[in-house]
Amino acid sequence: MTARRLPGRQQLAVAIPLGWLLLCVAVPMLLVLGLAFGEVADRIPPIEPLLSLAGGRITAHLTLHNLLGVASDPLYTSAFGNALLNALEATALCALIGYPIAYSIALAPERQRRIYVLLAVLPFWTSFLMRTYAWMGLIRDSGPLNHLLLALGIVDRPVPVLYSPAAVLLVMVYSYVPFFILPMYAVLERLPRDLLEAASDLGARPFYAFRTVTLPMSMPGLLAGSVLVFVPAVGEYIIPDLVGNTDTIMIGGVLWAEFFQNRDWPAAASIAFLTMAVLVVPLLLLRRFLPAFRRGAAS
Amino acid sequence: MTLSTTDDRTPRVGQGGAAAGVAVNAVSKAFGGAPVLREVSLTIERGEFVALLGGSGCGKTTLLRIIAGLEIADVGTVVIGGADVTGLPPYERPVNMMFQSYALFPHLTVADNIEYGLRAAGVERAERTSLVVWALRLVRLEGLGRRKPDQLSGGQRQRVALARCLVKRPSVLLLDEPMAALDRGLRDEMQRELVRIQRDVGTTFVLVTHDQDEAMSMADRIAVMDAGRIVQCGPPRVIYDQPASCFVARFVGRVNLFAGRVAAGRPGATEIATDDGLTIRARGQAALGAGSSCTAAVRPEKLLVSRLPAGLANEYHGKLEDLAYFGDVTRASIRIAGGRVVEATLGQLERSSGAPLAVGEAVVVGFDEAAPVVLTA
Amino acid sequence: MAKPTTAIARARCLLLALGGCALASAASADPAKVVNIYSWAEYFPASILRKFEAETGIKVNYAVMDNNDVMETTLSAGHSGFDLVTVNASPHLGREIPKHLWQKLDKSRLQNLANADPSILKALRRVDPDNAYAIPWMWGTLGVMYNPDLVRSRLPPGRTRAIDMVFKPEVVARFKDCGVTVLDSWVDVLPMLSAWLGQPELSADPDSLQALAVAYKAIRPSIRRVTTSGYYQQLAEGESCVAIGYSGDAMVARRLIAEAASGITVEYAFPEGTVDIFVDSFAIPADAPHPDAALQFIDFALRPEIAAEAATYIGFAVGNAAAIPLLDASMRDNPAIYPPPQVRERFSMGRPYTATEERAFARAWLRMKTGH
Repeated sequence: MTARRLPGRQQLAVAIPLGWLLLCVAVPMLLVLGLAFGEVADRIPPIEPLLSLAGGRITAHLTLHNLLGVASDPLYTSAFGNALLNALEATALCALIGYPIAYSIALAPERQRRIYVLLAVLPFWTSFLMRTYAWMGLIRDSGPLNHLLLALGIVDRPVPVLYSPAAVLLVMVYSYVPFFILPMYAVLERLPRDLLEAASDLGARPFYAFRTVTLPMSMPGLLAGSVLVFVPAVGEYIIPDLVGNTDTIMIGGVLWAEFFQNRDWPAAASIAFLTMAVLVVPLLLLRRFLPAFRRGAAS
Repeated sequence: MTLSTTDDRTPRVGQGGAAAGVAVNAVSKAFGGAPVLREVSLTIERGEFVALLGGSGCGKTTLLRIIAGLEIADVGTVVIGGADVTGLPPYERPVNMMFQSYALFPHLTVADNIEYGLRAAGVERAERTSLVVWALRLVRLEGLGRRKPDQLSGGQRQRVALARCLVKRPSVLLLDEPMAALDRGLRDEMQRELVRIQRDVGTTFVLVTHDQDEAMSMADRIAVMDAGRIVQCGPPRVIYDQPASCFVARFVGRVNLFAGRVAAGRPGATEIATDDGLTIRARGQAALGAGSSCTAAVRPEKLLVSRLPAGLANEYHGKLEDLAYFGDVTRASIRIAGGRVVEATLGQLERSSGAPLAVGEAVVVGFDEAAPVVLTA
Repeated sequence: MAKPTTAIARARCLLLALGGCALASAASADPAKVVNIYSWAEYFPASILRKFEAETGIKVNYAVMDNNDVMETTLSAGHSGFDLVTVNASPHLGREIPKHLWQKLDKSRLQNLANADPSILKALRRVDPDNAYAIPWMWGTLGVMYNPDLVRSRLPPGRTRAIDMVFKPEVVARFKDCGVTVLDSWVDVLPMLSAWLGQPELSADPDSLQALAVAYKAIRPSIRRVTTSGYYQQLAEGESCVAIGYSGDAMVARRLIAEAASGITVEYAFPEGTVDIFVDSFAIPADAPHPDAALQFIDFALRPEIAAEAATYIGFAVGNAAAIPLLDASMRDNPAIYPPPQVRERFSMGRPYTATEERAFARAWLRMKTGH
């Protein structure tokens, strides 16, 4: 809809979602950005007004030191590094687990597929927290996992899994894997069967055909799934809080502490803004340089 | 457009290059309990061009896919080049198939598409490169090697699909409705080119088509299929002139069918009384006793339409109901006594002699004893 | 009391705080006959709420509080609609009074005020010098909870002070395998650690904070979890052996053990030096729509029999001296709940900190616990 003028009703149809995005995404983001330039104060709300009117002049009180401070303080950078690393690991594991699942579903007879997709998303029917608590019960020292390990003689005393980085990864992968499976399945299911037949016919053994046809053709799904897992995983703080320890503190937890405990809104806003910036830039690059991603996003 | 000059020698690499014969022995196949092929047997000679012709659902594509190894026959065997390949997966068979959809890999360039089968076979790089160049030239796509399939026209895509198969030098090339996606002009051109390429590379071709013209113009032999069986197999001329059944007669070309019973037989001649009261004189059919039911099939171009009787063995008075002009021929519909409408093709002679026939005119339509083919099925 | 700040609570409170709408909508049709209470889950047994409603005809709307920080954010936004809150004395009440979040109580309306425990009122004066804003409801102490069966075999020879089981590096290292937890609350942990180090008072000057950081760094590898939620369940289930915790939670742990009949024991020990206490007090927000109804409720809750009923139900120490004789002997005589006079002498409550100090403490604690 470049230069072409849309009829009134269509304009309305476009204006509503645009207005929604503006009001619920753009405006809050600008507010957060504004806060990041503010000065913390002992008042309510705990921030100096960004603009003041004195002697008929409007003065802006903006400072860069929150953003610079957050960007240079090892507390935040390492929490962010933690979050990034953890999100990368979770994404990789989700791909390793989710891809074969999506692939099997796509290969299943059509009637069974619907059931398998349903099974894949079934966990969403119960609360995310309930499932996390269930995991806590499973992996705690006296839980079934340790009982099993002890009974099998693999260990002679319970392994502390709960409250460890491994537990965070485990529960995150469990929680996020459906977000990987669904877009992956959508792409794999639409993958034309005759391409694989052609590959086979041209002499490609199954694994070679997978590597040269299925995998590259399913890149849009792989990327979409990875983004869907990676982005929320970076900001995840509930799972690390529930099943992790202080070694697994992530940027989300630090943000929470800054906002609620320290009541340092500018610092919290700076963390939020920088996190977003760091996540958005590679996504834009990805869109720019990976035509497959563009195609996937367009279809 | 002519595709390639063939003074370049086709390389003897890939799968060995030598054309091979195919033997399908008593193959049956059912999908979900519904039989698709019923004890089909077919022998294709080395270097032959065979068309599998039939309507949709007749089993022709399934038969092709069984030869390719993409489907496994429930019963029966497939032999290629003397070796039983019944249990072999597609990637171990010396055949290549050109898909109706072309099935080009959209993420690969034209050159990479063509090179695909060579890479899969582990052909060395230098050899691959020269083969790709050869194949691109063969199908006249030089210079388009770096394009992606979605940047090509339908005809160009078809030629990529063809090159991708041919570069492997298959012993047998299978073509599944290769012209279905092309418009008419391009189709005729490609038909000629395919025939020529087949002659050049010497490979055995098996073509699946529902288009009788395509089958007639391209194939050495046509296997007409119906309901999972091959109902007749032979050279185009035999299929046309001596159809084995009413189905074949109707399916290949146009035909007037007169159903009836043998009224009398004498050596060298048969007289048929049709159900609508006509008498048709045909050449003698020794096997047919009096009273046995049969059908006389007469091709429209064997009918002569004139204003006055011409003294032929079979002549009927009628009225010219319709004339359809097709340029090279004109088709006439004549309602004859008894109410039946027969179709005749007016050749050069009838159209040029005297005043042209007009719709509504009383005419005589006739054919000689040699014209009817007497069918019992 | 810095109560469990679980992740769920956080998720929920984010919505609450950012939504800013709080409970205003909870008010019913007759505005005069309503009191909107904002407090911990199950901090009042339903029976006494019903009794109050029956007696006064005032309807009670009860909103569950997640933690004091969110409560403060909610009240700060204004128009919360709450009439009565149970607020933690230090640091919250202390810093909130100067911000005019609370209104002075009309004591002439509180006939039962004399029942309030004078020693707790005295402790409250640290943050509310004239007892003008807050009346104690429940209180408790901070101490060391431990599982004697797991601890005994790991103790070093000789006498070990309870607090050393957490703060002395070579001692706490012995419990690493059975699980040591620390409250995730600088308000509670930093004064204890500061006292253990012999600092005269928790101070935000860099040297003092540095000393705290060094001390914590030495024990950090032995700490399995820093949390305010669920640590007492772990103790009760034998999945941890030492914890810094609240006396009330120790009682909860014992109740869980009794319910499970697991035979596990949990002891509660006071630190040898000062004993930090927390007090949850009634306070009325400055903009409360129904302050009269709130005062009526406070006076009702100050009745000995009502306070005793609640204390029996919750298991915390009640801030009502007249209620104590009415309690069951097993409770009344439990030194972990109602400590003996020699412990009471050591009671201490954090002084009000400035915002700058608080931010320094909070950030120091964040760095300490995450190892930065």
